[in-house]
Amino acid sequence: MTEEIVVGLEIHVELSTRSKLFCGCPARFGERPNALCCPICAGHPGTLPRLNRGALEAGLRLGLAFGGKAAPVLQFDRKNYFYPDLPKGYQITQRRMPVIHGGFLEIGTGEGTRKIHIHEAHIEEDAGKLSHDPARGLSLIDLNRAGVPLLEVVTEPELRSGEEAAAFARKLRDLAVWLGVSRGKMQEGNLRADVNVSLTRDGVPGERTEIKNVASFREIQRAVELESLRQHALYEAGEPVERVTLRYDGDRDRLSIMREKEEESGYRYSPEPDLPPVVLDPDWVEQLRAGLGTLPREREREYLAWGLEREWITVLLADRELSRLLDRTVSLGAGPREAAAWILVDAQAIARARGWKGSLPTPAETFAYLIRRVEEGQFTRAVARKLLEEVFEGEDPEETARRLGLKRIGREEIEAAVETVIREGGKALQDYRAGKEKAFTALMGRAMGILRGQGDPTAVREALRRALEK
Amino acid sequence: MTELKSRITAAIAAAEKKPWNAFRLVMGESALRQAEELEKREGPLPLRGIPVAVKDNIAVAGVEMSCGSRLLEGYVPPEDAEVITRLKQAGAVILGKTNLDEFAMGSYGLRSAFGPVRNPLDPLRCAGGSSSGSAAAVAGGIVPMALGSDTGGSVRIPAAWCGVIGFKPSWGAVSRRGLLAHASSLDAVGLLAGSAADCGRFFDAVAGFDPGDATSFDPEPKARGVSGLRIGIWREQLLLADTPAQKAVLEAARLLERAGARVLEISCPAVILAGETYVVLAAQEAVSCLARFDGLRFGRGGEPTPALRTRLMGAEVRGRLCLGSALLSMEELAPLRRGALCRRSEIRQELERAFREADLLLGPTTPGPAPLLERAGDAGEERKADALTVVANLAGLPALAFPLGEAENMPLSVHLMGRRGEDRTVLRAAMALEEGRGAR
Repeated sequence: MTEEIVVGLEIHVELSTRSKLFCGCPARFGERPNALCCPICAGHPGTLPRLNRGALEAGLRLGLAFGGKAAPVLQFDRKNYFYPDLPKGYQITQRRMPVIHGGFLEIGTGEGTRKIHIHEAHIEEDAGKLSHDPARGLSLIDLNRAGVPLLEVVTEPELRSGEEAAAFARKLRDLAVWLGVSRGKMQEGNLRADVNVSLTRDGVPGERTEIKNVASFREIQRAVELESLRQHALYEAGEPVERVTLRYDGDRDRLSIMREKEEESGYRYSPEPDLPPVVLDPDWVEQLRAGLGTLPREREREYLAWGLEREWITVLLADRELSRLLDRTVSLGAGPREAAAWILVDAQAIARARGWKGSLPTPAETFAYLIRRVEEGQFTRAVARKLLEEVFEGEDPEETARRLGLKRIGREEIEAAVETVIREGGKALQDYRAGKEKAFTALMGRAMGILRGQGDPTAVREALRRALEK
Repeated sequence: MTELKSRITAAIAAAEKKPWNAFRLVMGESALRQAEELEKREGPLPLRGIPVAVKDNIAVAGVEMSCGSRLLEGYVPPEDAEVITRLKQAGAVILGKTNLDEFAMGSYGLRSAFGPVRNPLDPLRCAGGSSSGSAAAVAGGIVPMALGSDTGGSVRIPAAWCGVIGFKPSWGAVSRRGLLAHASSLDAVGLLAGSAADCGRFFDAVAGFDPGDATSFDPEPKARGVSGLRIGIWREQLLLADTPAQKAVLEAARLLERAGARVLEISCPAVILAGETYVVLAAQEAVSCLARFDGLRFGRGGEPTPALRTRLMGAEVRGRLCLGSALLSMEELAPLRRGALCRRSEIRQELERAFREADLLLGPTTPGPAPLLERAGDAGEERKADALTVVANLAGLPALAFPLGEAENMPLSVHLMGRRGEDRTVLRAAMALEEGRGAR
């Protein structure tokens, strides 16, 4: 018996436009409930949708970036269903004429990279949010999210494991963030997936089930793993797999059945007459394609050629600003590996220590300056690192170095410092001489203190050893 | 008291007697306030001081809009409909909200949750629907102009039976923003007026592109002259009418011919299926357009949606929603669904061909005069009332009901239909009919 897991994803990417898809309300997260709501998002009778061109552009850019084809004409449809968070009683989406056809993303698997094809992608509006207050016996509706634009990306059923499904979702998120069309914040629900799972046993495809609204990469992976196990157990017990809709409970790491037997027509689609068809100008589409710039997969090839570490590349491809900062630093003459180390290790460590939020405030010129000074032998790396702390927020490094009196500490100064340490003696020296190797650290610290932390630690260590052995 | 204010005061007084159950709500105080403000506004205004009645499915900010339904009682819209904004700019005074068939579904004017509307010309007869209150308010002389809405004939049928002019503009020629949707692809804000000249002024005040309605556009600014205009008498429509109504059509043709038009005969057989096509499409669209009335947001609430709808919606509305839901969700009914879409495009194509030979199509608005209330119980008969009018909605064309001829001491009406966007040509032809009728 051969058994293969077959997974298809429908991923909703929230597009980070200034306003909502069909009205002028701002599309922001974290506001007071119903602060971002007008008669259009509340679905008042008589209100009409107006298409936001910015959302269309964002959706098109993402679709073009994964190699999809833009439809010549866009049409919108109504997906009719009742739910308290859906004010109009229907969601405006695209069914007959999605904005993007085809495309693919490459994911890394155990056996190298594999293309995962995309069936289509369409633009639709998000629903509001329900929250329940059991103490007061109330269910509350927040419409801030109602009408926020989404691009729903539908893959072909070509994923073969939970890991692959999560890898695809991550790839799509990174691409959207790279292009600046989505904030890609998982904790804010910027990316949510419906996960379709079936098992093919001995070449015979089985019934598929759907796990709705999975909101993190880990949960996507777990949902696939748990559902394939559930289906496997059913087959083994000789029971049929029914076409059901499930929910994944992340806290308990469990699946539960939401709805029995789902049929396509349960959603009752109908055309949306309030939005006339939009003819896409091919010149505009070409302009958007040309404006995409270097895409992550091209960048990845270059970074590999530069000899960057794998995990660095992953970080860079998920953050276009970091990647731009690196490219710019390299273009100013810095070596790629040195530049990457300064940006991704040193600067990030400072950012973390200071609780810095958002992108790095340090300009590429600063990194290029530090790297050049170290290469020219004017600073030790330690001095340069100390300087970075001072100029992290964009201060002029040259002037700051002068003000702080930072300069390269020469051999003579190091030897003088070591001599002072030994001359002063004290308990640490006695301990060391008595064979306690640990005391060396204390002596080393004293020498570095005399040098105001600017000595090259390797040189200081060697000088100290030599002096002690004498 | 100024002339303007006394005119408005008289209109308020007349409306407040609630004759024929035409008004749901009279906005006396705000109408007087508008009149006072108008006196301070300088310069010529196209509709200065004209009181206008508004069908109660068109939003006036801060004024209850219940759409003839108990379900929506107490709902107050936050914004003016675009047509209301434009009417106010043009100097019109909004007098009140008029009664209508529940959710604008009905052809007789008998299906309002707030009671039937009676015909001002004969209270034992139907006023026609669903813009029944607006037609009665104009026919009864309370207002010279009223707003209605027309999804399948809802402006033209009551206009025909009350003896006034009813105009359904091209789909998109008047913004639908603020009109409670019944079936968006068929809906139009419609106009009722006592004369063709008034109807033309009324149209000029409200027509044109609205950035808030993506389907709106500017209709042709110029009308074609009647001289040399080709009028096609529409054979199939003529055959569906009673003899007096046929005679009225021929009389209209004669009047237009005298004004210089050329009359010919046109055949469009596909339109015979228009009625059924309309029933299928309108029911489906109504399902989504009315889905928002779930008892959670607008008007009455406090019960689970199905129970609330069963209790508070009339039989006609529920029947159409059931039909529409079945059409949308049952695979067995897919051929009906697809068939209706095909027929809609066939009808459009056939009309396009007809409009190569003729500039206007002429026929009867209804087969006969307003039915007696005692004979109005048959829902099947009621649905047939719009057999002649739905074509204009399916094809999005401008169409006008013009009172001409008589039967059973009641007015008859002829129907003029033009090309999409040529609304003003239709209105111009109506003016020619009016002049011709006066000269007779």
